[in-house]
Amino acid sequence: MEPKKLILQFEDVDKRLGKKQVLSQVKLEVYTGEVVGIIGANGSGKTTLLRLVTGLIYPDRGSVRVNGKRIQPGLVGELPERIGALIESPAFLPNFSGLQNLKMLAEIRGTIGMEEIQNTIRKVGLDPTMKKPVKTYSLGMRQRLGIAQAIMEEPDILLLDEPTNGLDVDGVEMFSHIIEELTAKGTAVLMVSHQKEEIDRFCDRVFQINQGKLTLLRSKKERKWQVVVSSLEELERVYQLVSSFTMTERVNGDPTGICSGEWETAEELYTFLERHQIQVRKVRETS
Amino acid sequence: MITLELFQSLIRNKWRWLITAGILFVVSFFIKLSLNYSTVKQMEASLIDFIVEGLNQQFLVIIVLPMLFLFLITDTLLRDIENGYVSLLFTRAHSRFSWLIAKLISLFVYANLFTLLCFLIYLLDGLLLGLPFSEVWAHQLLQVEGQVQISPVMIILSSYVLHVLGLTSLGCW
Repeated sequence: MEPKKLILQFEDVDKRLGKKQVLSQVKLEVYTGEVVGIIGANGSGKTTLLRLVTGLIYPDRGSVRVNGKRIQPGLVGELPERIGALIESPAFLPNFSGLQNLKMLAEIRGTIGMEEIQNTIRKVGLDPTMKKPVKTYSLGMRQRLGIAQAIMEEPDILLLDEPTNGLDVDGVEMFSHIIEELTAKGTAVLMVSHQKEEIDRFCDRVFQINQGKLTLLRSKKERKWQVVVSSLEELERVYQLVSSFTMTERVNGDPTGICSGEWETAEELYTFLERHQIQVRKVRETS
Repeated sequence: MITLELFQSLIRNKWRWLITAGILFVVSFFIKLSLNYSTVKQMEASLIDFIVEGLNQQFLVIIVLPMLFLFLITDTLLRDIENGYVSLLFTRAHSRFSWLIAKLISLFVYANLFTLLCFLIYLLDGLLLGLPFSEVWAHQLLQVEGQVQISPVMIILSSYVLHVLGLTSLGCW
């Protein structure tokens, strides 16, 4: 596995929009292969952070670096390369099909062909041969198309603004697979949302943005674990040890419960419980 | 980027183009009135006179045509930002400058399309009014001395170029 590389960096970024100080002294580092989440209320500056990375706006103070290169302000300043973004709901050309829309966008960079576009459309669960114009798409279909345009050129950095908005259960599952696949290849994902569940589910590190300040909420991804033990006494001891532990239905007649925590593997949790003399029958990650 | 910009503007502004064509069609009927007022009575105005008057009549050139063109292009720069399309473009464009260049080129293309639209509507309206086609000038009062010798086609072409350059400059400004 390749060592993680710093790919996106905010250095003491200040940004004022109108009279409002939207960002204040923001410091953030994102490494390859990780998913960083930012949670915050509406209007707290989450989308502004993403816009700064695309080069659409630039900081009043401080700098934003992508792949070590500072995003230059002004008209002639180069824009960062190899970025995919789904910021708010993009208004695709309404009279064209999804495939035609993506084809026109792909022609700007010219790095991928028709086959890659069609494969990406399939990956998000849409049919590339569908002739329907985008204006007839449902909200979920548009969101899937938005995800497709963001990932089709295999970006190094993926910027996502409330990415599961409008997606059904299958859509969220599809999105989860895409994120896993991309991060395994080394793509860094910066995701913002006002929904804590969305951020908790997908992100390794989580920040909160409040009055322009970024604060770290969690430095590791919380996973859900199913723990099967040999007796009710053991279950009681797990309950006392792990605060998030809740009892569930027995598995094969054995007392069982579910907890969440930052353990990265089942072995890690198993060792942790064994250290506290708890007789564990089985530990497995659950969704 | 340029192709996308052109497609985008035409599709998103199709209602504006239809409204503009409608207004031009209505306005073009007044050109005939203007011609009746200014033409030397002994000579009947031709189709060429009608088109040239349409492209040169002061009120049209100074007020109506620029207003209609501005109506068409008014959100050229802001549209991408308002509808969220800009993030799709900026993550693919090499620089902000290339995005701006695409906008400026599209302005030039629209100035051409708009002038062509004026020309076609005047032509259609002239035909509807039953004006005769003639390659010689009937409309003496439109021209300054010396222009009478110039071919009407050349006058129309130079008017066309002037309109395109003027409207593009207006759009850039």
